[in-house]
Amino acid sequence: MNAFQHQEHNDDCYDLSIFIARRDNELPADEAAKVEQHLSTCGDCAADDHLVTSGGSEVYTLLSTLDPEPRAMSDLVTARAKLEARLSEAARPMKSAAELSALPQKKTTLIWRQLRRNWAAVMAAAVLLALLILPNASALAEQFLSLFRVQQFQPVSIDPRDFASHPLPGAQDFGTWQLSANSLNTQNNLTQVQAQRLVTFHIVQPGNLPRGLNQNPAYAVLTGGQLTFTFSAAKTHAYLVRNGHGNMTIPANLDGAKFIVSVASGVEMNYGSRDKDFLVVEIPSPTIRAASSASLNELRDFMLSLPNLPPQLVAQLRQIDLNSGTIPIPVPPQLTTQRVTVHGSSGLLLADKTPIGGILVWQAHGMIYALGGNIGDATQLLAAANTLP
Amino acid sequence: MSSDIRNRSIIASTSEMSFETVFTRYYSLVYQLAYRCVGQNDEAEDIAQEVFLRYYRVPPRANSEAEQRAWLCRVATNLSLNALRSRQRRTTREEQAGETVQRNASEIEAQQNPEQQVLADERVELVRSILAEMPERQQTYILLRSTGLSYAEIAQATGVATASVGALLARAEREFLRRYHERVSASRA
Repeated sequence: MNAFQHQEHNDDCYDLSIFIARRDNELPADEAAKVEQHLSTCGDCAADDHLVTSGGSEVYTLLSTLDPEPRAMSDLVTARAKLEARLSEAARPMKSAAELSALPQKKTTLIWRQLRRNWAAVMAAAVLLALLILPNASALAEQFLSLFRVQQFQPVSIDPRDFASHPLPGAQDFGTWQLSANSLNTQNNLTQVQAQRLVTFHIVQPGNLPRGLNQNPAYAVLTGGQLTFTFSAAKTHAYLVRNGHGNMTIPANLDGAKFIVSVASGVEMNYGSRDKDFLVVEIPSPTIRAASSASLNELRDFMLSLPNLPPQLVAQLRQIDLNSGTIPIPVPPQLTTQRVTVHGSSGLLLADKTPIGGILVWQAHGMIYALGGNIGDATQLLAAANTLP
Repeated sequence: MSSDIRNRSIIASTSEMSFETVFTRYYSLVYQLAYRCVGQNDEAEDIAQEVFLRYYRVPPRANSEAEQRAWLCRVATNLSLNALRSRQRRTTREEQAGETVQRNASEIEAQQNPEQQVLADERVELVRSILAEMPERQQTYILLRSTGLSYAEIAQATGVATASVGALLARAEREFLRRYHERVSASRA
């Protein structure tokens, strides 16, 4: 007897699952011989065995009627060509932190290039990610209006393979986004003077740059704005039903709850040369405000209870202290992370394992600073950062 | 296909199979699995493409070819069942709104062909609708088994113990037949 079976009629009789395993040639030879022997002497089991065999035959014959016509499928060459086209399409610039974290094979340099035109969106996405998975914050949970300001960053290890069969849900699965008018527009090819007029902080530049870069950066400004997320119980329920968890309870006060992310105008300085990328980004710390009956904490608790979230990710997120203004930064396996100090402030250095380059991000005096590029050695980022006034 | 894809090793440490090899070997299996669920060529191809796109982007942790095959089948099944549920919801909405549901090619063909073809198509639709109505886990077990996956592979794909697969299959097959015979009896009554 093996683990498939349990005793039913008497000590010698077998469970139906044993007959199914026998039918499917999944029993070890010695076990199959024992079952065979028993069947020759037990009429009840022989009848069960016949039932399983004929029933299975009927089931799989019926299922075979669902097979496609032999010529319905594209030939492999055509199918490969289609896949190639989709891969090319998928290589377009990324638009969110979630997409960024889902491409483990990319080099940091490529990630950084993709960040170039989307850094503000990535920052907003990171903040929104924090919004959706905020850690325990009992102080804020007691408040009707809650405010979260980004002050520091916490790496959160993620393995995209965990999401391959159960992708992380998108925020659109749980509600709607509304962007305020004329916000998050990029103005490119500005001079330093023009850029300075468009932002509310004093733009600073690194005093010393890695070799081979353009000493006169091109400036771009991304105008600030507000993103309002409105939670929808109906959309959330639809998502849960789609994923086989339709009986999960959605807190009533979340329905219609609004959460507002405010991002002020920021600047990007591009020091890139022909063969090197190097950017410096400065932006006031974004804030998140819960503007209705539900707190950020309640939203966070619900989001972390969603099915199919990798337990290790949930555990890491729960450990983050909201009161310190920390937001999680997803870190895929091909990147290394290192905590560093820049002008006395805690920062995070993300580097390619090669290493070819990386990204350094830190917060100081209500501002977020980020440097990054493919400058051959990520430690040069830290050196450059420390020359910022 | 570019040399990049052709030459790329999926799981270099455990298998020397290239993406090209996996694609060539399993594309038709994945397509067939998807087609059994959704019953439409375009949709089945889209699903098969999506499965391999995911495989390419994020190769699964797998120590053997069997585990790779199980992964492909699991993702194909999940995507197919999602597609089926979406279609059912759309159909329900259309019917509730009193809209005319567009007949698919097989229905139109059935009107033009002999009675036998109609009966065969009706049976296909019946089988597919019963499959779609079954509990998701049970759908998955018999679909995976119907594509020839071993118990170990089904266990790998669904996250259950190999020793439990026989009992789970027994339940799923029984449920499928119960529903099928009920519907056939009802249609004859």
